[in-house]
Amino acid sequence: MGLKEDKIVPGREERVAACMAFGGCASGIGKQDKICLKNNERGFSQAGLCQLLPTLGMLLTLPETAVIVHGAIGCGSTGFGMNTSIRLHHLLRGNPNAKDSLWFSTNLDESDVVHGGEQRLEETILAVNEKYKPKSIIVMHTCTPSIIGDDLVGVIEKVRPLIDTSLLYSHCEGFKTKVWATGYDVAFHAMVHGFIEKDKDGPPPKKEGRKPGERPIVNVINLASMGKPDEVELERLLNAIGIDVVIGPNFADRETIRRMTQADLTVSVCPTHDDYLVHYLNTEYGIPCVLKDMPIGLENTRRWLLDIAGNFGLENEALALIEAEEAKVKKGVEKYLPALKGIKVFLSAGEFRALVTGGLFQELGMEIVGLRSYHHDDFGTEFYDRLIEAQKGKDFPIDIANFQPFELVNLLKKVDPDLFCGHVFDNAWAARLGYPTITIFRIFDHYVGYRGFYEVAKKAVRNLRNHAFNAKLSQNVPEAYRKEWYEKSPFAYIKSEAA
Amino acid sequence: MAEVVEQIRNVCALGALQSVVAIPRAIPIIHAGPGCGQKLWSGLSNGNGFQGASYVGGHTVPCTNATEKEVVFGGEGKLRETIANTLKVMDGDLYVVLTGCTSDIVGDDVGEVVRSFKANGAPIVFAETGGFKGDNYFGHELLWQAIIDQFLEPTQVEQGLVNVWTVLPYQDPYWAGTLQAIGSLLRSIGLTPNLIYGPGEGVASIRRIPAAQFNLLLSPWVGLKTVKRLEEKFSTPFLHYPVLPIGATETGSFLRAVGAYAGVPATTVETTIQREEERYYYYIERSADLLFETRFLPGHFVIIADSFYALGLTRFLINDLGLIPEVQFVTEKVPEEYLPLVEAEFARFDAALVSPVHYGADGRTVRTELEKRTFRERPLILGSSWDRVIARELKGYPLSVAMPVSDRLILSRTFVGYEGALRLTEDIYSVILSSFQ
Repeated sequence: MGLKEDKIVPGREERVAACMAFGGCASGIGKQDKICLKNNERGFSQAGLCQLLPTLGMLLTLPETAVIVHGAIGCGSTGFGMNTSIRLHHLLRGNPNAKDSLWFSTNLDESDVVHGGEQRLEETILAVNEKYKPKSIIVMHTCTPSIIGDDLVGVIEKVRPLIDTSLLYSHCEGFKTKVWATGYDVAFHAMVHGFIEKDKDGPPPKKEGRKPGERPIVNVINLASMGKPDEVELERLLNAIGIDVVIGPNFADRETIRRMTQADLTVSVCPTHDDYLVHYLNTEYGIPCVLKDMPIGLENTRRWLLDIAGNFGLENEALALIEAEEAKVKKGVEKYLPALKGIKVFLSAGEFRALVTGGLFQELGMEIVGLRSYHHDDFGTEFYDRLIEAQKGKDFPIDIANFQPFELVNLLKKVDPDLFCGHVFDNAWAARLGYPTITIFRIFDHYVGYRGFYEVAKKAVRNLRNHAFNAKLSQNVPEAYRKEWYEKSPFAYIKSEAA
Repeated sequence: MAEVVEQIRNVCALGALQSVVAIPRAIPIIHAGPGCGQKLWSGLSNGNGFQGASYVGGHTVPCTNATEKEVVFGGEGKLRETIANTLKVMDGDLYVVLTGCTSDIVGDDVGEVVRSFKANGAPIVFAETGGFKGDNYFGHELLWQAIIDQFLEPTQVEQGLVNVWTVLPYQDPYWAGTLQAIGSLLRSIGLTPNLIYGPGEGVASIRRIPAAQFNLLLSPWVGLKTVKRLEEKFSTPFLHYPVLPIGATETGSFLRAVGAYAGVPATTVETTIQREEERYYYYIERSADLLFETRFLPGHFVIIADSFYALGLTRFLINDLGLIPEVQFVTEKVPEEYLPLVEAEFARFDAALVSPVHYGADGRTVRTELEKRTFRERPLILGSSWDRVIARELKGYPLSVAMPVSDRLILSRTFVGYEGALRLTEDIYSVILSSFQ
């Protein structure tokens, strides 16, 4: 099975044996049995995320779309906040007049739970289409209609022939998977089925081979959380070695997404994010892929560029570019290195992002003393060993946790880093403990390629220079955890099946 | 039957979670799917004035993160384990179990699980707040029914102690400052406010609820169930004052009403009002030159907010600022039985000004109604950040006063009382003045 055949996207615990709960040494994760890891659970847990959020985060980037959240009214609560952040993305993309997405909730109540919500959903899709004529309509299926047995696909396929608008549906019920990264797959599934497989024009035909002398075109799979500055850097580097790019599917329109079937190569920027789509393009359109690295840090960027160039015999061009860029950026960061030397850093984000950013910090002379990932899968395994090797075998603790700040703050107090680098919401927890923090991504900033290397160094130095806000916070705000909790192992509530 | 909602302006019953978060050292435990807590927090807090996670909000909230296993086989075991371990890890004085859709549909016996912990001495209550049961105004009242019935004990009445029941924490992005302002007003006439939410005594203030001389319900309708239940259970009487007091006129009436009800000597109340009004009009007078000597007056005003603010702001803008109403939108679903009460309040304005009011209005109602109207001057549009789009199209002056607010950071700001009305006046005219600079 795969993206094309799947009616409902399988959870990542099934598809790639993703693990949600593990605590231990970085050196140990590769030696763990995948099935055992996958079954780890927590005896105490805090509110995580569900797959609806990443699904929505990606689908909302589609231009002029209408979102219908099929469920109780609370499932649409993130609507406005996400609308605002997408608007900010559009501003940064030089598109200040981008229209806001349209937002609807079918607002299921007690009577709907008894009688079903299919009819309301069908009427809503038709009414929204009639009144607003959006470019696409996205339907999100939530827990309540799923449990009461509403047939989402049935409604969609009944309505699809009646309207001219692209119809995207996503089964993103929170209770269906523990691994919210499944939401990325659900969003790819929705885009591919809505704009390619079940599009009114049918799937585009396979492209003929590249003609001699024609510049290669590669798909660069972007992330909804990636800022425009990073896309500009990737495009600059690939263009410089003679490669044209199509960036998508986030922030892309139907035509661009369909054009992705006509590329010569698909390049992932984050393998754990992209594999479901990349394999679809490979299986259905025969497009080869590069699905190994994330171009953050010098070494990772070098490997990423050389892998791509190798597909087109452009290795020499790539090497020349890499040498020139590395020389330039190394000189650029020289002034920051003294302040960063020996700084102990703790990272927290999606696994792959955290690992490659760790590599970048090591290249700046810093040491990794801890790492927290939202989930673990095979894409990351070898990168843990690389980090340990790069700091002469010095191991560090890792926590695989979908948020679970109780584990994070416990671990931080034990590890006591000099700098914390985290994803959304993580930084505030570290700041409450007084640690200087930098965000592992922010859509205004550069992180990838050579520009990213320079900017991250600069940002780390700036935040180390004055973290008075964090220090005052730690002296003045109470903690939510009992003292006894800090006396325990941060991983005390992780249960493995064997235990 | 419920209707489709365009552009949501409140959340589901489980949103009561944020009312618990607003009480220091009260800890919510949610028995729900893995995304419910994050979504509701994001909608009510982060996406609404950037109110933050607080002591135990956001991803810190203990949660069963229910999966297929709990939906198919029941989630009581998982809930029991989560509660037991929450008591070991999280440092709180009251634990509140709230359920989401998954648990309420499959029918977990949450009461049974919670009672077993209570029997062992844990300070714990529960409410079944599955999202499909109603909105967060409804969920908020379910929460208080639960706390009253399962936690409160009768105690000696303290003369002068007043429980304050008003805006919904987090749903109203200005709740924290608003409660503090109401507290100061009550203190100014010699009463002792019990504010419950926000910085203060936390759970100790909940325990004091039965000690109050009376309950003050400062709300068009939300909270009536709560104060009536308290009256039944502890014989505590209540004063229902339906309008959020903004500005000198309404705040004066409010203080007089409370003073009379509480038995505060009229001279105390009048002295306070006189002192506050002198101060208030000292500042208001300064604004007169801007208001009357320049051309920067807004045309008619439109309010798109819940009944607390739709009513409170309308009163102030008509009775004190002297503006003219165009149309008002009440965004929450006011239950049938309370509608006449709210409608009556909207009919009582100085200068006999009335404007149409739409109840349970969503984005579609707002857009449809506003597009029908002709605005000859630039209107003042007090609404949510959703409404900035239509405000732009109408060349209006937008100010975000209601959920969701994404264009301002809100810490302790409030529009209530004398000082609050000065802030509001500053905000309105700053929007107007900055619109061309």
